[in-house]
Amino acid sequence: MSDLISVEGLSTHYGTGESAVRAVDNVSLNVRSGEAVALVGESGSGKSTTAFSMMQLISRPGRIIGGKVLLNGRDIIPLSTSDMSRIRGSEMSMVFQEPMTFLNPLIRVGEQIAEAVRVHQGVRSSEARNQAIDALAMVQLPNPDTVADYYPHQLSGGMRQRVLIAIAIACRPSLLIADEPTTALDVTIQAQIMRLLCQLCSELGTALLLITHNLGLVAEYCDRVYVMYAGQIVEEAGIFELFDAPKHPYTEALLGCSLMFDRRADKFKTIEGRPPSRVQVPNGCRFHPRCSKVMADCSVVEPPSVKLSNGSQVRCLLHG
Amino acid sequence: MPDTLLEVTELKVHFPVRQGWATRDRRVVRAVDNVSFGMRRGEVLAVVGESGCGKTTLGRTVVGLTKPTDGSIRFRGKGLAEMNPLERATFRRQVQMVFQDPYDSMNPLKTAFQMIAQPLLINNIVSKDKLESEVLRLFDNVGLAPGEAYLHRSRHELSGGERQRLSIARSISVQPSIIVADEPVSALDISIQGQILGLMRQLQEESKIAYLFISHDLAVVRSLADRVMIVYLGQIAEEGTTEDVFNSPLHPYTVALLAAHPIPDPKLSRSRPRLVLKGDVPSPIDPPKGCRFHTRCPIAEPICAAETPSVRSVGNGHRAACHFAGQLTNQMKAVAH
Repeated sequence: MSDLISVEGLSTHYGTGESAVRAVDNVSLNVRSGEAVALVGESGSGKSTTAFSMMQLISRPGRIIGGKVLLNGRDIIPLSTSDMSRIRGSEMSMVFQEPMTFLNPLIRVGEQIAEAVRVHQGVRSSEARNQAIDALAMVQLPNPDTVADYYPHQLSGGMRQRVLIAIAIACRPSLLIADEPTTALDVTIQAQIMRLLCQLCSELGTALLLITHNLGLVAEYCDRVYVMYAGQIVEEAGIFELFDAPKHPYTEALLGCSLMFDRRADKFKTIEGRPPSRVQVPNGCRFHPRCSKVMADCSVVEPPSVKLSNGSQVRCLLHG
Repeated sequence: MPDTLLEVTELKVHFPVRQGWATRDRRVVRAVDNVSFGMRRGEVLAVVGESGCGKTTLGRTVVGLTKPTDGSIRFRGKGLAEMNPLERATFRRQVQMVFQDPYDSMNPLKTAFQMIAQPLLINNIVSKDKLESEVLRLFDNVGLAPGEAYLHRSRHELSGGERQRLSIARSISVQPSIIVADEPVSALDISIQGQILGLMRQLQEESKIAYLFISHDLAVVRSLADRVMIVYLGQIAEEGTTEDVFNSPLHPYTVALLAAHPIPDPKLSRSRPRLVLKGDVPSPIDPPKGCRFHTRCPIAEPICAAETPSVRSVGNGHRAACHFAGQLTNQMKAVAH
């Protein structure tokens, strides 16, 4: 299947010159239509900046300094603000971590959904409202025509996240980027929202790019995974390949740290040290100061991204 | 039990819902509602529940930061309310707290040295001439090495993991017998979490400190706790040894929590039975009558809405507040899919 969206050599920096924070550095990834792909990393690894760059929502001092974001083969980075606004919400849309921050507290939620419909589909107000109510029904809110008249503060966290999802899917986008959509929610609500997201995506044929730090969610809901470390993608693999046989020492260490609730860990594993500063990144491989399999070359040679025979890609000198 | 350190009996903590000065609103938030449990020396007791279930209020009440509305807390047999000032001072030293966000619980103007030195001096634990060596010993204990490099740092010069180590050093400096740890690793990345959990386990094994470990993360609880209390809307739904609660849960809420918790293993997580609870957690202002879980319970019967379930015990300290405790395995299997 062809790529729905393909990111090629994307770099986003905050600030300029010597002191620039290289949040995203030469990142390439792709999502095919209908797929559920995860972008995993710890805090500060650049996963959210990647997502915001794809949506062109980077604001100063952040700047996309290179690379392409191809949506159905067309580079959307050079597009004007108004052209980009047309794409955002209709062809690709985004769900954020903290719904309260992204909902307008002064506008009824039904109107906030209807606005997206009106802008993108040019329909009349009454029709837009009907579509908004349909969208609320799709995210399984009880009594959607009543809920449409609520303000965001009248809803619980889980319901707000459902409203945000309703806004995102109201225009049937082909790509939905979900940035830590359940991090602020409790586990029983998290399960509801994740199932809803995946169910909607498969019903509408929407591809999902899930940005998360939670390996459990990745394991349960995604087909393919990109692992990010210090602004770079260090590994890409199918879900079973990644968890069965991680290729990059960072992925391996990260999986080793995660605890299982069906057994007691005799020893708590950790990764020594801490992620590097992004102003002065280490020479060679960015993970080498913390790597347990470090070799002499690792501090000198920057490992290229190598494609393996099983289709995985890895950025490590141990491979290729 | 001669070993019982802390005994909490029918504890209630209610907060008034006052909105404005002239309100007639007499409603209360029942944050903790009739909770009883005991803690033994050197034991790790986990309190698990979703946000708003009252687990943090419970922790704050145990250390004396929040006043109970009703019920009693006894420490080494002596009720908190009956303590004279001297006994209370001892209690305050013996029961320490570690918060979720160490950044907010540290004075921005103080150095790491000052933060540890102050409790040592106030409690006359070391003399002034031995102060620095004791602070360095504590730094070494919590893995802040080399200690000299940390003495003069303030909170903003420390990473999240280092801050949590320092806040643990501060709590163990006064040689407590209980530490109430409120989500101590939730704000940390998983590659750092293990460091803090390992440290907490090591301290507990070496100095027999008991932890009241408040968490929503079942995987962390599974590996650290000896016993677990599952809390729902201010009440204990289930309590037992970690093995018992995880391997043979009695309460449907525990089963649902376990089923909803993500497992970082695609084969396991995709093959397990699915059970997704409907709806949100009800408000603790006006909790449901009867069993508080009945509005979301997949196996609720009419009796659940009518009668508050009594606590049923199945031995080995394993108990649950459910009308169908101990006989729900097959019913839950039938609703999971």
